[in-house]
Amino acid sequence: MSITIRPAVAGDGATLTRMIRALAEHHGYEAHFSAQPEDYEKFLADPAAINGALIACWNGEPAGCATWQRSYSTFIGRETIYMEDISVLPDYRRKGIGSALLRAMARFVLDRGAPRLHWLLMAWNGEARRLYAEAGAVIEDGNCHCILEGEALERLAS
Amino acid sequence: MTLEIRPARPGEEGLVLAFIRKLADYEKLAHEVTAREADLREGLFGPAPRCHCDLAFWNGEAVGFALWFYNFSTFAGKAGIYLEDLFVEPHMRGRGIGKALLKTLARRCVDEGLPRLQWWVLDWNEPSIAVYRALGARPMDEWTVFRVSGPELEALAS
Repeated sequence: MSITIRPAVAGDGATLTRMIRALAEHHGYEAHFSAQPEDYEKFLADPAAINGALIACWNGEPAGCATWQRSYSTFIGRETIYMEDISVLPDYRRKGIGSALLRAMARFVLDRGAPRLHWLLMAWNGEARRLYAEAGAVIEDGNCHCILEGEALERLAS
Repeated sequence: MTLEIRPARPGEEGLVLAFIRKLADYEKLAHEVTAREADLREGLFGPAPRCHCDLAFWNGEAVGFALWFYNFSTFAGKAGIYLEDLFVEPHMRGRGIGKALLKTLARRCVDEGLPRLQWWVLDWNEPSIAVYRALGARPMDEWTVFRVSGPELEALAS
């Protein structure tokens, strides 16, 4: 039983659509989901895209993904990375795939030379909050904005 | 009395940084600003720009700015614009300068076929929240993130 994680590439649009739709359904947001595989193929085929994704496989089968996009902090004057989604298909939950994706995102961010990974958390999602706190993220309570940087980012990536 | 809004030009990164510092001061976060002019020069005007900036001039005097970059909604499968910073000099408020900066971005969204303009606001910043609501922006459920899209985006752009 093994988890492998790789960058999403051209041809992964349908896989990503399935995973992110599953996330929308899990959160009760299916009415807000309208993306089509070709919408994803556009950025997967663009080497200068502002966004992308990592795909996690469980024994070779696509099981989850994390999507990212470029962001910028004017306070530090550097590119940062914003994580839009982290999704694990229902059959593959509780195998550590979400944690592995978060670690892989931290590695990806450092490899790009960016100092910060940040994302938003649903206020009701206490389980995710615990996972992120364990990963070293600082969670700003006012807006459930999670920030991973400095030593905590290095630690998670290593 | 004339208001002009135009993109920042190379050489104006010091002006942009001064506005970033003033905004941070207003947000009580001045201690978090570590960006230098060289960082902003690279981010705004380098070979691979990471962000964009519009400056507002009142009778030729720089009085405000909007710093933004492109983002991507995985649920909609569409790119959009994310507004990172918006600031108007305190003594110049109440003249519609902030609204004009937002309108410029809304028009860009419509012109480029981008369905959404999005930004965050600190939850204690009631004066700004009131202005954004009046413009048709709505806070997302359970997130403290503001977006304007669809008819409200069209209205703001017009």
